[in-house]
Amino acid sequence: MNPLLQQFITDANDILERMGQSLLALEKRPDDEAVIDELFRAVHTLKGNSGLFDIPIFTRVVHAAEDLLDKVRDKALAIDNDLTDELLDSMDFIQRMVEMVEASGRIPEDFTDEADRRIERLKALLPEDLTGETEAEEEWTERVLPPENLAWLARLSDADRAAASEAAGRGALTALRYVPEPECFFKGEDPLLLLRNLPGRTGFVLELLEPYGGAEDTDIYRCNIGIHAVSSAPIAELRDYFRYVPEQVALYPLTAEALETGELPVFTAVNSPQTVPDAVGEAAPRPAAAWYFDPHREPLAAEIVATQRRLLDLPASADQWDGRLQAIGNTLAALFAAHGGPEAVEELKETIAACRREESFLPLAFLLETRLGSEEEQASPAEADVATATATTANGTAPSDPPDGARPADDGIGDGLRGAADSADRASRVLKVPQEKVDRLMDLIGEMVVAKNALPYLASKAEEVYGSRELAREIKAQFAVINRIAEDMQDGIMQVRMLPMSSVFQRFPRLVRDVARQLGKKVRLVLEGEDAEADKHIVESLGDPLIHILRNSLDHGLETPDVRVAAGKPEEGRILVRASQEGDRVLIEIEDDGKGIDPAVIKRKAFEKGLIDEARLESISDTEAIQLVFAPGFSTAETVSSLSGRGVGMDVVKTSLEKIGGQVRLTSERGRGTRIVLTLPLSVAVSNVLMVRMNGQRYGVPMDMVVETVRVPRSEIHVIKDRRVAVLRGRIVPLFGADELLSLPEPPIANGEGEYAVLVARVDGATVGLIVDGFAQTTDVILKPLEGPLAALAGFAGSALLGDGSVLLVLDLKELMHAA
Amino acid sequence: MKSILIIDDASTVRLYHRSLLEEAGFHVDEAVNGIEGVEKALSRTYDLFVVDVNMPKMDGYAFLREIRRRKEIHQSPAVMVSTEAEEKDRQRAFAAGANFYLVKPTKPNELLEVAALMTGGRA
Amino acid sequence: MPLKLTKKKAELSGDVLVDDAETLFHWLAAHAGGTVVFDRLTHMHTAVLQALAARPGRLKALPDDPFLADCLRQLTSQKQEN
Repeated sequence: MNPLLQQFITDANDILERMGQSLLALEKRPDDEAVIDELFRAVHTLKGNSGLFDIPIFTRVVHAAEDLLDKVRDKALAIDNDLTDELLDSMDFIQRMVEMVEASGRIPEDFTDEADRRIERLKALLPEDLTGETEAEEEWTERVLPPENLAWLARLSDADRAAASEAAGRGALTALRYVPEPECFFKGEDPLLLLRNLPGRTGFVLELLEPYGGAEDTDIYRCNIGIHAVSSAPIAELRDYFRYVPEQVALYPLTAEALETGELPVFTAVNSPQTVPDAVGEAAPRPAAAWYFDPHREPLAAEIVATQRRLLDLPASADQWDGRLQAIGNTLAALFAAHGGPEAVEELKETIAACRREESFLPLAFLLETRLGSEEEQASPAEADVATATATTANGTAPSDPPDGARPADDGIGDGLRGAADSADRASRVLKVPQEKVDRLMDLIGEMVVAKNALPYLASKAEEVYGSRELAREIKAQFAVINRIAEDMQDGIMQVRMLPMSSVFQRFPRLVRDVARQLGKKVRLVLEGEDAEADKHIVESLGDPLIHILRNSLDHGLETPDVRVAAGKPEEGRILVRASQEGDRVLIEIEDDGKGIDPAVIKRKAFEKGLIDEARLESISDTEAIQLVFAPGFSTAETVSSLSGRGVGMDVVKTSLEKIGGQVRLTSERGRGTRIVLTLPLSVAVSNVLMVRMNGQRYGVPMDMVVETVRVPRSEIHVIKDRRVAVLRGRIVPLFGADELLSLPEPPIANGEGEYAVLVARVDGATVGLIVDGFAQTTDVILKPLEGPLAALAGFAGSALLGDGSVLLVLDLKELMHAA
Repeated sequence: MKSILIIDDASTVRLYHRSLLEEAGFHVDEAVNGIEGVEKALSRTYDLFVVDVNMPKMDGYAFLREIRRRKEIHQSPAVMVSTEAEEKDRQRAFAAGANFYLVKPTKPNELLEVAALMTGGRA
Repeated sequence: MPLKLTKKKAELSGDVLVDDAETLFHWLAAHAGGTVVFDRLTHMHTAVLQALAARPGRLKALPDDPFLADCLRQLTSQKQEN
């Protein structure tokens, strides 16, 4: 899978999980804006991410959810149960799509129908159109721009126009377009007062934006006035004057010539470059050889320049004015260098200096006007053509020619991943790694642990075969070093595999909520100790048993609100899930304040199902009786409900916990509630064992001790000083019967050809053979120390629960050999 | 080598942009929100900022305004990348101080070409 | 009182504030033959100007203040009389 898609999937899972949590948090605190923001950002990010891939169905569903959340954020829609349900459902659907993408890299066609239905449903939840209001608001998030022509000048009175002309002769004039926002009166603004006190006011034109029709319901308090004005004050002073309404005012220079002709040179310069006025003409001299950004030939370069031109029309607040100018200048510098060479950059620099002097973007705007457009539209096409071509090839940077390395997004992105993963999460100093990678590392470390065990053989071979004691010693020394490192690595990878309980717990709020709603019960779930950590294998194996326990609590433990109230309990039930660490074990307690377990009912059930006989029924204590829920085949529910009855009972919970070395204890008080305590190891030592058969029983031998398995004919087994030996690969190997070592009644059985199965192992540097009945497969097991009376048994490394539920005793060959 | 700072809270998008730009020979740094972006921009000169809109703590608009306000930061071009293609969104980006606007998902060629043009060459 | 209203006449003087705009507007609507006069008018809020613009042709004369006179001339199509 390409790394980008992988990252997308990792992210998507993460985002969906966060969204789920946020949604549930919102149900409790519907007004928490921080959570709403977080939720919106999450879905927004997911939409953006999905756009990188060709999965339009996915993007559309996420988009619909985003629209809905946008309304929630704008307070046009309130979070309620229905909305939460719909969103949670949609997230499940999105999750399924993520899984499809992960599995097959695409979303199957048959998702389309459901996607469409979902989008319809999400859309149906959108509030009635409030467009009137929102549009008015949106309109005013835009800035007022300079007008497209100077027609308004004609409406100036002759006296004002004369005054303006006279002022223009003395220095630069500024024109302004002021369109107060409709609601401005309610903000205490009086545009007329602003206009009255306008510094350097030399004339103004008022207009009604919409004519008053004389209707009775005319809203006098909605500002309906647009203003054009001329001022002789410096543009900076004007900018400051309008600092409270910057987005409602556009300031633009007005030249004497423009005043005369009524034409706005800035906007007509493309077709009539000769109208460059004197003031800026000096700062922006016409270049000898023209070069242009031709939208046909280099659309992107031309668009960037046109964008900078557009930026120059936007008002900038005083503190950002210089930064904006510089940024525009730096943007253009690169483009000018490519097109016009050093002279062009020099010209650009001078123009920017002129902008600073005049505190106006205008000089730069003029320069850009002369640089936009194709050569056909320009005055001297032949010359321009040559110039453009030269500029392009001379610099070797034809901008329309995509740089090397440009290629489709889904092509192998390659090495980017390492760097991205490295810095992506640098903020939190946490590295997100796909699980398989950790597993792979774990496997490799496991292989290394076994491989290093070849070194002692090599050492003895060096000594015995090649006669070099020196080399043997060195190999042993190296072995010690490698052995220590290998152990550290094993330890290290175990640490990496530690996961917080929260990774399992976070599924619970949703589950409890859904189930409780379905059952018509009220439940408060309290999670504690989510930070407690345990090995990934342990934590992951906990998920299903815990869910099962929770479902049982919800289904059988907690009562419906009316029953609870009648019993004098609070209407809302409470389930506590608490994790804590105790030494090298993790404790997980699941406690509910429900009706508890009735021992009498359990006893009767167990008896009816034949799990206990009549004698036991009489003698069993209440405490013992409730443990019967863990007995295979026991199920307390009269009918198997859709919720907890998944065909498994508490016995499966117990078995699956024991498989990972855990234990379950259950206590219950009638009418007061039930408490289940799980005890689990912090980490698991997964051992690879070879299973051997002996006296109809299976035993395990740790694989890292096994050298080989061979068949040895009875004839080749010799007895030297009442010890059996065989010559294997030219070496004398002592043989031990498994029956002797384990004090078993029957000696090993040879096969039809009179051959014995011999397991050759390396114990304390010596090679020994163990005669058994036969070999079975190898398997990974979680070793558990022997407990109770068995703990006294020597010769066993521990026991392990096998997949089929049987117990495997794993031999400690070292101890057995010493005893022999 | 030209350097680019990507400010985006979505790691997938960062990875995507970073891979493309690094492939083309740019030095690329990342920031997960505007605040981190400003911090990084204070620590070295970047030839281009590639800025997301919606981010926690400090969004793209606030980042741009902050950058444009600060005299100690080299005023490099900024490209705002957004999922929205509407004119009013462009207008907001430009009003905040962006020099160019690209709609997400960015096309690889487009992003690379814009980066090359705005920084003055291929990396 | 910046805004004095009788059956025949609305008189604006001094600073006419935003709150008076609505009163004036309703008076203009209710008294079709009524006229508006100014007496030492120093300023009127934009909303007051809008009220006058919405019911044009009711001014006997423009105010003395040149700025306000200019505003009213532009928006009420009232010919300059001085």
